[in-house]
Amino acid sequence: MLFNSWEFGIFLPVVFVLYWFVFGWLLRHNKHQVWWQNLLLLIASYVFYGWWDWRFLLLIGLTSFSSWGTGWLIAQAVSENRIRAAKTWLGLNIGLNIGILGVFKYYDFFVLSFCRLFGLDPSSALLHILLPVGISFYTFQALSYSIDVYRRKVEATKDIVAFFAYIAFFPQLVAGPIERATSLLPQFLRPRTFDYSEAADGMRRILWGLFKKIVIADNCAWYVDMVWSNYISVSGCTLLMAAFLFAIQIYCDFSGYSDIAIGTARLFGIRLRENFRMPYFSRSVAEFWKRWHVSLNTWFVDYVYIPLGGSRAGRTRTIVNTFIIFLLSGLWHGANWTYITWGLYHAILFVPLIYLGWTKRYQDSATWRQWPLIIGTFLLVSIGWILFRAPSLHDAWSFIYCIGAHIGLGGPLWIMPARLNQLMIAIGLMAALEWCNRNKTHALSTLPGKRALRAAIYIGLTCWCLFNLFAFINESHPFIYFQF
Amino acid sequence: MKRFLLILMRYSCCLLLVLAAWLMLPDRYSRSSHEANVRLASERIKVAESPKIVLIGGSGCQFGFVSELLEEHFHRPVINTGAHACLGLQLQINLFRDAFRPGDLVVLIPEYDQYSVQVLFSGCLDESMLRIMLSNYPKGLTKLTRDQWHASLPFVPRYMAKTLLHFTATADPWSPYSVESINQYGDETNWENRPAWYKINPHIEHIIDTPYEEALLFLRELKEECQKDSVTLLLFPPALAQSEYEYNTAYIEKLQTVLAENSTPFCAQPDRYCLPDSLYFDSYYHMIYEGAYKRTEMVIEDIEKNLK
Repeated sequence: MLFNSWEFGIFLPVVFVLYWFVFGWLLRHNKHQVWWQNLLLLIASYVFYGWWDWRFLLLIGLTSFSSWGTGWLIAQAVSENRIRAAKTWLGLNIGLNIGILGVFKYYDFFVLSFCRLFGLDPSSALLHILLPVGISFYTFQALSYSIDVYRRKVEATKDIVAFFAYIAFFPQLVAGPIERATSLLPQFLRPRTFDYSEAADGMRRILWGLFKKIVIADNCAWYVDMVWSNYISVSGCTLLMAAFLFAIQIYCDFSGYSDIAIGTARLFGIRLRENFRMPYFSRSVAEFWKRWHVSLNTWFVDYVYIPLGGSRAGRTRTIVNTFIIFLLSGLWHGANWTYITWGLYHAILFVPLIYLGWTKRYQDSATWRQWPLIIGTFLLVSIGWILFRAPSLHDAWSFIYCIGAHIGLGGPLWIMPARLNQLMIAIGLMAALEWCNRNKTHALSTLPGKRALRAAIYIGLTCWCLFNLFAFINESHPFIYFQF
Repeated sequence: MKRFLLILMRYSCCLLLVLAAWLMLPDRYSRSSHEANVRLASERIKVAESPKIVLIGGSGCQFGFVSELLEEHFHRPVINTGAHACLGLQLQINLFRDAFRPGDLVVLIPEYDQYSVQVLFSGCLDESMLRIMLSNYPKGLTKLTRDQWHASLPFVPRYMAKTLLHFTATADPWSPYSVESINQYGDETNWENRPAWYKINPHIEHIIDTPYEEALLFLRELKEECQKDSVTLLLFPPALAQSEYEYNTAYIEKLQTVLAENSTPFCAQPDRYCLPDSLYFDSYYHMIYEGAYKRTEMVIEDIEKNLK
């Protein structure tokens, strides 16, 4: 089920009403109220996920059960000081989860790469398995629980319903933010009360996320897909515009999803971590990575980078560790050399910053005077997005080559002017609102003016979304990060 | 929670009001284009004196007649109600049915697809019917059947989006598709801007289908009603470009037989209205002046024959 679908428009109010009125208000004196609410969230999440393919439920069920069971065994072993046993259970769970991820996501890629390298025929060895939606997200979430139990950062829970709901919580199930057991699981174990300001902010956030997805990302996707399907024969300016629009698309698509996820969770009295902090206002690539897909990057830092020694073991070791996490991050995104190269590209951009000691620079928010740095960072990141978007490394190189070779072939392709004009206005509006709210969590956090004016802005944005849904009704694109 | 629900309700009410206002926005392009003929024809038919001649058909009727010739020949007012075939044959007739008076001559020229494709009979192919009606002649929506309402509702969102997309767009007054090109009869007359360039596209899937049962029943009932009201109804084959005709001969012959069995035969042979491609411009139904002139003369001859 997509957030930008009519099905979700019905699903969400139904679950909301059941959650607060049936399982909340009617059972308010029942000591098992939280358990019932968790059960509802679990069923709703499985319906949400099974909407794609019910067979995926078996996999998420297996991941949840193995993490819950081994978590319990790890906790017991740790409490009895049987560290070796705890390590064994942890290793088993990590092995199982990474094994599932490996088979479903990477097996065909590695077999294909190996066969190509040695000139073998891969056809008989390939599995061609359907990649379950969001498998990387919930696998990482499950892994973080086991590791945190082993590290005694979180207590193992006996409540299987709460744990399953934690893994499968529908707002963030398929594209994050990747939550930690330390922050999310306790929220499933304690009673939730409805908070007006949280819910109202959640609604604003959902609206802003839908605006970014429907009005900006989907329209960018239309242009970008069109150019990428025929990039050999269009002008360099058109290619530049497609590269720019893809940078906007991936941001609006992914951060739009995160906004909807965080907003939806708030309607249920649950707080999710921030995943984006206005990353395109970053003044260096290091700052960009502190603002982009925060939940994944902190995951890699906490569970890979720091255990490897982080930045404390000398400059060379820091550079090696940086390359490792960027390579893993690239591989996490997908089984393709383009993603790995994209990770490498960012690691290379990091090296001078490590030498200059600039990785922790810019803790404050950007100012007008820093626009040259912001634009420079945006350009560097956008080049990386070409690698990310390209179907193959050859295409990525050809695309970049054609930008230079075709630069004299005229201005950018401006087909369907009404559609492109409204897209440019929407991008401008987003940039302005996000700049004004760059210290806040989202662009609609604080709007100036009276209540009526704010209401008019919300209704205007809703109508803008509806207009795009109505006008391009057959062109709804799934979120890019679902494939990861 | 109460406060949250109250604000949500207020927001929803405001949103519904805005959406209702949005729905009321006319499609400016439609009002400035040939589609406005539905409104113009409904105004003309109200004031026309009987006995009159009413031409009913798709855009082939609008872009393929010189009604002046008909008026001069029969000395009766002529109203060409020709409209986009997407309006659907059923609605095209129902819109003007109430204006038929004893002694009137109704020349009905549906396009071939309107007999066989359900949506072209009922008018619910896409948002076109809603666009034409809501923007030009909202009163006419009362003539929709329940099934038509039901089938057209899913197109409301797309219609609304199109009205905004067309908010600043109007048809070029020099185009043969503009409202300015419609003459006092309802013919599109901007003849000089219609170069004859029609070429058959061999890649297009053409209509080869069996006539639609509901369309046949509807025509039979219409004929009976007209006979009862002393209105003469003549069913003509449309004037089709030769290459297209040859491509669809089997279907057209089959249709001719079925219509005869239905007691609603064509009043002329379809192959008589198979005209050279050079007489058409951008569609196998839209004609240049020479084509429209020739076709009108043929229609006059056939009416004469049938009235005798």
